[in-house]
Amino acid sequence: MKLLDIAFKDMTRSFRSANALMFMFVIPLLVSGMFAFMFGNLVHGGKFNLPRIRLVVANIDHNAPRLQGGSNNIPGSLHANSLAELVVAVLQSEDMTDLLEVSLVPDADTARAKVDNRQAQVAVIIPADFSRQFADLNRQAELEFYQDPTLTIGPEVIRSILSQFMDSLAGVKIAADLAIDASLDQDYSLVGQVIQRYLEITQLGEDPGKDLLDIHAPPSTQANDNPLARIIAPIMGGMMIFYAFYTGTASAESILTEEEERTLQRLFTTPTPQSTILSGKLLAVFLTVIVQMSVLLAASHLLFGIFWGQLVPVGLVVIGTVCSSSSMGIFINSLLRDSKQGGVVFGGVLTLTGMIGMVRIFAMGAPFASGLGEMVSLIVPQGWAVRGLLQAMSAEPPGNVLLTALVMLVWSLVFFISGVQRFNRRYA
Amino acid sequence: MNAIQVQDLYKSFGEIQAVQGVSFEVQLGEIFSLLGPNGAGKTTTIALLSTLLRPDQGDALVMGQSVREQPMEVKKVLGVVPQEIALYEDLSARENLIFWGKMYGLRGAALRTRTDEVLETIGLTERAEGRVSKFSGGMKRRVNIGVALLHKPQIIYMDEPTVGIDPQSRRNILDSVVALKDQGMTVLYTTHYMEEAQELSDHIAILDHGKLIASGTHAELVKLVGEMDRVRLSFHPQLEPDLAAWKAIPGIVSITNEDGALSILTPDSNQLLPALFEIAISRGVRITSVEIHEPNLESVFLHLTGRALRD
Amino acid sequence: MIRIFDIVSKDLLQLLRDRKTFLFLLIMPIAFTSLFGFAFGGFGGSSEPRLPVGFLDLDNSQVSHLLHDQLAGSDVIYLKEGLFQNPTALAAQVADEKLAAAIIIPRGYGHRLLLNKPKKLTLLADTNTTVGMSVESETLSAVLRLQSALNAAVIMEQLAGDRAPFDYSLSEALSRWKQPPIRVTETTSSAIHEETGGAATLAHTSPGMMLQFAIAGLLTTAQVLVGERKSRALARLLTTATARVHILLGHYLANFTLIISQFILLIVFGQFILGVGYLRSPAGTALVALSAAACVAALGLLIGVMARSDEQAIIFSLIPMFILAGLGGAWVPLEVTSPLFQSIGHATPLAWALDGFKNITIRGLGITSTFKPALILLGYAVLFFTLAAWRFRRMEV
Repeated sequence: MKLLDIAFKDMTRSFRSANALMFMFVIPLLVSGMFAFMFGNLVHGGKFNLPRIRLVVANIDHNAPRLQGGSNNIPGSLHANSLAELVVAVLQSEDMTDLLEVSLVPDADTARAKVDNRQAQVAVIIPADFSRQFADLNRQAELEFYQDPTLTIGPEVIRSILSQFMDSLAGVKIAADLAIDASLDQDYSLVGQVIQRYLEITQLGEDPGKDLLDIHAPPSTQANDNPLARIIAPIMGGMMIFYAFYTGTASAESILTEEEERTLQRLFTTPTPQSTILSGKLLAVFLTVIVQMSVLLAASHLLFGIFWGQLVPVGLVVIGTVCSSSSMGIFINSLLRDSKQGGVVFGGVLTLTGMIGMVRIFAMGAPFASGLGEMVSLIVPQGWAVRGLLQAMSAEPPGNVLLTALVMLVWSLVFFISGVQRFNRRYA
Repeated sequence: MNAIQVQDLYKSFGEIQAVQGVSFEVQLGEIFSLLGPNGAGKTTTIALLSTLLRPDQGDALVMGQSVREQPMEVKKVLGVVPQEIALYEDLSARENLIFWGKMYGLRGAALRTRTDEVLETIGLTERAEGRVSKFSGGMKRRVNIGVALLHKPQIIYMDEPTVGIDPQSRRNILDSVVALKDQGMTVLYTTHYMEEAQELSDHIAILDHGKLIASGTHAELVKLVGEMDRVRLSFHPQLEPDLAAWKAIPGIVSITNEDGALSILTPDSNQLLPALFEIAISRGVRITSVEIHEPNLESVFLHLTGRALRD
Repeated sequence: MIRIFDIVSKDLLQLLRDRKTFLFLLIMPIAFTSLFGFAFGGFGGSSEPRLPVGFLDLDNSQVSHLLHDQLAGSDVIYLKEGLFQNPTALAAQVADEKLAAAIIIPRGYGHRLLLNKPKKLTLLADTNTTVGMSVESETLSAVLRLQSALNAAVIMEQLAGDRAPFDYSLSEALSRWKQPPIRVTETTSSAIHEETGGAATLAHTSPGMMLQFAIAGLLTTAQVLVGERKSRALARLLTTATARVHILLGHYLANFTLIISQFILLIVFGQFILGVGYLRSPAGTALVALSAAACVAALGLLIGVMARSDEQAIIFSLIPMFILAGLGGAWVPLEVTSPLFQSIGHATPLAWALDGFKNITIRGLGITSTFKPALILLGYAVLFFTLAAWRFRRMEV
């Protein structure tokens, strides 16, 4: 009974501390909320929508030869008198209005300057002689795609579309080149036939990707259907684990602060066994982390729609995390002389080990890093907690999660035994 | 049965011998003071008797229970008021009392009732729900004492409870100590204020450098210095260190130079004073003040150690 | 006036004696930047910068082999093959992020492609990410080029007969695709010539972490001010012939000195250890660093004046750190977030400081690109200082 009294007293003090509440609840939810805000506008109806990309076009191919056959032969009802104008027309077409915000500028330097000054994200520069170069058998026509180097997704999409369009033109040219090669005695009627035939059979659909590729997202991302939740979930999970370990250590620090406040010594003068006193304090640590994790799991599910996984695997991960974070906190505090040293420990040791544990989350989406990231993260208990949570979220077999939870319990046992031994020696 | 029987206690911290062979007895229902300057070993003795520290040698029996062999039984009969405020500042006065009451084994309605009684006793009923962090120093001290009273202990240790507080609060505490005795409690009280020991105590033990140098009632202790007066003379300019001329005056039992002033024990101050003035004139120093004190604990301490109690 | 510098030296002495100062201002940004850099291969750990893509050919035809050759020649992806027996194993590899994606050529693919009625290739990838999009784009490009070459060869055989046998035309077409007659050339102002994700990440993370922990470190400077008030030392100081504004300036300059020292050390670390191009424009970097330090120092002053206890100092420092770092783009570049978030982010000083640094380190621009960010940062510095001065004047000691 006294054990529970001591535990409850410690928990009361913890939950009255604004500092503790901030680290336990406010910061994890704030950070995740920030990410939700960052990407929320990009998600509609369960899909990512890119914002319109600001594109400037500089067409300096002013004396381009007219297209043979005029505009009538151009698919998609586009109007252009030259190849350069065709490129501009494609970019300004109705099909592109959802994706692009196009403006025209007179020269290449102006176009590049607009990108440099962040007034546009991409500049397409059609050089002088572009059309002539394309018509020439022995030359290569090049279109310059000048982008803001800090951007990724948007320009990638534009580049891809532009490349596909260029390839479709290149295909015609190659077919024409083959026909020219095969033509006898300068009778180039074959060329026209080949081009005509080629254009007939290579009509691309609106979305060649859909026609030619059957795309499947990897199964591990399907635990959360909502793409926003897919982004937020690992971050929230990482934050939750990161701050669970903070809470474990901060709660265990109460042993040191009570010693400094002299209330620990006073407790020792009461008819309460020392083992009861220490057990009560340790129990408070465990219970505080349990409360924290439960609140965060529930809040993140309600606020961000995150699905953490099935009850049993999630429960195993929570137990493992609670045990390892609390016992690590006990162990760390058993090494400290006083609470003044705690500041350095919290800031340094916990943050560093927490970040190492989260490397796997940072490395998500970077395949060349993820293997290495996972290995590194497993040198600290936080890494195992992250691993367990990601396993639960990816609906991996319960056996896998159980194994991870068992490793966390081994960590816990080692920390707990060492920590308690040290405290017992200290207060013998 | 004696309430407390201390038998030849020793305690060292490294090379520092904090308590050396201390023995004394405290009778049931009395106020017993441990008097001594800072660093005399009073707090260490209290820590040994409350089982916070284990003696290197010796033992103590508290209500017949050994502090070595039966610490838990000893704790049940004790209430301890530590020198520093040992409370949870982020809890209210009532919450502190309830928690500590539980640690002393009180529960439920009995605990609630007793908490109200203690709040009444320490005069904080109206501030019961206030956080201790917001209390004045005196109020904190009262809660500090209140915690020790919750379980109605048979013996209460009070370790310098009046240090650093205002005179009115001090007065209140001293009155409450007397009230505790009236309720039948035995009080072991430590202090470096001679007046407190003098006012409160049935018996006094004087500690210095870890040793018990004298113990007894106030009257018995004072008799150690005989019916001696303590005479203190201040001079201008300040006296030289050489006291040979002064020591030669008949009637001086002991003489010390305290920062240029003379402190003298003598059986008859009236007879001594003229000779003191004569020497002063002959040496060309002017006496700026003369104090004559009847025998007290200060004198006793001076007599036994050659130093003032407040050194 | 000299008293200002006395206060500066006193504050710096207190700060340098507090180990938390070194922790927040030096150790943590170095550790975090290194960690992020390591996680994203910023240290060039991998000799293969292309994306690893699994490949499974269930068709095993001449056409599928040609597609294989097209993909193998890519600058963007490299094929990992022969290790997987079935699509399920490949899917697991992609799910575990051991592969960026996987391509599976179904049976009969080559035959159908020859008939110009192509079967769909299976692509296992998350096309909502840049990695997935890159692989999709590259795969599509290879398929379309192969299809184009096959169509041209078929047409030539049909129309030119013996003059252009299928195999010959196909070989010629594919050869021409190696140097297509029209192509898109990517250029960028980037100062990072090797476009590896890791180097770009470091160029973002280094200034991001430096700025984030400059704000976190404000808790130590705030605690100096709080301590001064609680210990009544401030009250004592005000009984001397020292004007309030001098006291404020003294604390401010101490903050500024500490932060600019941090910036210098971390910029040197970033430049020489991480290879971030701060010194491409030393004057530009200096301008951004000075104005950012002025802004953060003023924020620290405001926090120190507002906080009434150590606990409040911690809360008032760490919450702004998280908010400003998140909104300002220290964690995730604002460029990849929604337009609304970008607008809001640019209402905070950190975003401008990052813009200033990235204009030099990533965009490769010169000092003129730092004028606007520097001006805005100085504006924030004035705002925070004014608020701090107003509060300090009203403060009861």
